[in-house]
Amino acid sequence: MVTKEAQGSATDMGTFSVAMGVGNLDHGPLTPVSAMVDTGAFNSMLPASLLKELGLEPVEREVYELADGSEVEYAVGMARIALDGREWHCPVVFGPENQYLLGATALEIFRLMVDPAGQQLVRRPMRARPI
Amino acid sequence: MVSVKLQRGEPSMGQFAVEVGVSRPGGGPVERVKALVDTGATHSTFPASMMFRLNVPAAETRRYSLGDGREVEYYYGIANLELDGRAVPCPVTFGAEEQYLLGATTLECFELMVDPIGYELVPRKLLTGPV
Repeated sequence: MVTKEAQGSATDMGTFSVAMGVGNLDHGPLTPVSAMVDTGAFNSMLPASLLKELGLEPVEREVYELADGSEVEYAVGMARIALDGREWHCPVVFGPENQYLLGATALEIFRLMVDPAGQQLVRRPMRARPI
Repeated sequence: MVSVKLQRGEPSMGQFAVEVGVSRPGGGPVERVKALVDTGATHSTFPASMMFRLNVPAAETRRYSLGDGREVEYYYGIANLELDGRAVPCPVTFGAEEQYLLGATTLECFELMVDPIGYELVPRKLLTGPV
């Protein structure tokens, strides 16, 4: 099952972005953003300037490894993310400008699978058997 | 349902790796490695030293963006990838050492979806029907 909101748009060969909302943990308004679906990113990442503007507070700092093997330290906090017609609290990294990533932990929380060929997120069927 | 199960260690939330066979197009020795499933990486990426060892021809150099916004230049070519009992020629990036990524174009070539909860790759047609 694919909802309209989870239908992505191509960003590059194979990769794609989806529209989602992000806000603080209170029930305030959500800011619409477009984030690239990135299962290689542990947590979702949004520009630190945007997250601070939304009133999000960093919880801790973590070291992340980049694709070339170098390491960089970022702050991490919790945000309210709206996606696929639902809202959940998800960990987000306070990243550099122009970094909008929907990472693996958010996909797991929303129970969404990634379909690169169809450029969409697909709700994971609930299975009776244990994983 | 055929699926490619997790091969490397314990998965962390949402992230997982699978075993993939890599060889030069047209036949040659196959090297089997564990690669992180990464929909944020356009192409599958393996260490350049491994690509040269397997005699995978480098077609050209391309520029890639890192997570912190910096750009790096890597060789790019076509390798034969084996996954899910099938072998398909796919674009590959000649990356840094210890960099083993199964990227978006490979998932497209194999028509596989990513299930971050079951830690497996799932054939897309069986679940979603014709798109």
